[in-house]
Amino acid sequence: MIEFQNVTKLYKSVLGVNEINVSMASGAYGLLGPNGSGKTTLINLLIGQLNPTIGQVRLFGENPRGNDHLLRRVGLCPTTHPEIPRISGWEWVQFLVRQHGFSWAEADQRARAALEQVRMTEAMHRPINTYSLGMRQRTKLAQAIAHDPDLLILDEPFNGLDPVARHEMTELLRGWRQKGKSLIVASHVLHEVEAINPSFLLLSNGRLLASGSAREVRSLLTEIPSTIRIRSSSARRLAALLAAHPDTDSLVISADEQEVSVSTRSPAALYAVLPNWTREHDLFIHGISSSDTSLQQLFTTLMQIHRGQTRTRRPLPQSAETSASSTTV
Amino acid sequence: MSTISKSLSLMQFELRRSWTLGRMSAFWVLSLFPPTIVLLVTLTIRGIPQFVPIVFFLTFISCILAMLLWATPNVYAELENRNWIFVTSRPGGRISLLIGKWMTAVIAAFLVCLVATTLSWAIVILRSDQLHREGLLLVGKLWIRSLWVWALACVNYAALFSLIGVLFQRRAMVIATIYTLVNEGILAFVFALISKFSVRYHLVGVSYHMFDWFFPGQRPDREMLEMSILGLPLWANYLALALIPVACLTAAAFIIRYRQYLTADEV
Repeated sequence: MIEFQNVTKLYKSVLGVNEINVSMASGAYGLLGPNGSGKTTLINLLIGQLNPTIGQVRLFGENPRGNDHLLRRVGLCPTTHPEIPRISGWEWVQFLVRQHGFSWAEADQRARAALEQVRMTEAMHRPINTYSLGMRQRTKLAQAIAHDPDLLILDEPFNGLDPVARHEMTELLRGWRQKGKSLIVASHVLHEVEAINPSFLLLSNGRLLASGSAREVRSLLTEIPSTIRIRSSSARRLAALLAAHPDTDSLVISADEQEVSVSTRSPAALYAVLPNWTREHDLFIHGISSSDTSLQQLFTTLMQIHRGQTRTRRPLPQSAETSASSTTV
Repeated sequence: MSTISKSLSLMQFELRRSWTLGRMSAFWVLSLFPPTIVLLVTLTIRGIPQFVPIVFFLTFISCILAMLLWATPNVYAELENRNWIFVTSRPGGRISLLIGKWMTAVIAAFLVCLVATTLSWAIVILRSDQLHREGLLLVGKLWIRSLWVWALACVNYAALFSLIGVLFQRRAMVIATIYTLVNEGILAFVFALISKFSVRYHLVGVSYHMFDWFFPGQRPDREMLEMSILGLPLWANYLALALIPVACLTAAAFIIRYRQYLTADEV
């Protein structure tokens, strides 16, 4: 479906993306990377808004640059919100559907159906500039799906959504996937995209660092230094055990003695011993969480590996569906 | 659906969304500027013939300013209000955006010219002592024919300014202003070949042929005219006024289709 062959994009002297080599079959993909990692550039290359400085991009086997009929098969929900005074969500979506070549009547029907799908029917006649961030996000999604594309591309679709709206968005994207249609979701937060269960492409500083399933990305996270928060009613005893563990760097016990924050060089090693400790030392663990700042750490580590500054314990994964040339360590 | 049909849809959307308080204020300021000046001038000058160049010059200024507001920011405004990516990620979106915005500029500027010319001549009539049948007929003919000239002006300048907007993502209005002052303001009056490359040269040529017979007594020296605005036959003026928008829009379409416009979200 998508092929990037040795693609580099330069904005004058600034590097957008660098030597991207990836083949993506039909399916769901999560483009994961910190802000400024090149996700939006990659999307713009994919839909032909930008031309690669070096290399070739192929979408459905064709060059997307200036290729109008390919755009009919793509639905794009960009990260930006349009500033359109006086125009209602329905008028805007209908106008954009019309630009796909549908008649007034059909565009109207499709716009209404798409807005209903994203639960915007009630507010669709209100001006867009009165919408909340979540309503704008949903209206943007409606304009992307209204013409029934084969590939849906969403850039940071969860931004500004409350938990209920996030859940609804996730369900909608799952439904989209179940229809057998393709999906690309760009995000800088792993757990948001994880629920859709896509294959991941990890981008940082314009480079494709790794690719793999959500499970593989999670397992990578356990290989890098990070901070884990463990909620336990026997926090002091747990802290004593953690203090004696060789992979523990530092410890903090919360004031209510209900939580231990442990910085570790190897979260995987700690995860391995925790079940034994609960059994042997009669500990009660109520929850374990690792913030997504560890994802930032993952990108930093992957960049260091990429530059040859660090070694990993094991090779980075590559999924069956994707192949990224820059992931070998 | 053809590009024209998509462009019409874009124009309708554009007209619907562009009538904000700011745009409405700009429209009325530009439309009322010529009649206001005409009203002030009628305090010292009376008579229809004397007002022909005054009304034309003032309406021309309003027309150009309307173009600066509606035609020039065709790309820049879309990038700024972040609607660019939504339209241009549709099949033929870039072309329909160009044509739709050009049509919107033509309509908006023509409406400015229509209001300005109508009110200006109404003031001239009301303030003159020629409220008889002949005087009204004369002004009526002037009004209708001047609208034809403004229609030609709007079509041509909108295309020219749209091209400038497509070429210069930033500072398009500054470039368009400089172009107007230099080419349409100065070079159009130079007695040389270069004047024929301005829209104004051909508009004045058409205007002269259309209004010449109204006031035969006021006709300037023929030799002088042939050196300046009558250097080309009328058909050549019309041909130029037909080719300029086609050439400008074709060039603009080619550029907008293949150019990479960057938004703040890139990099």
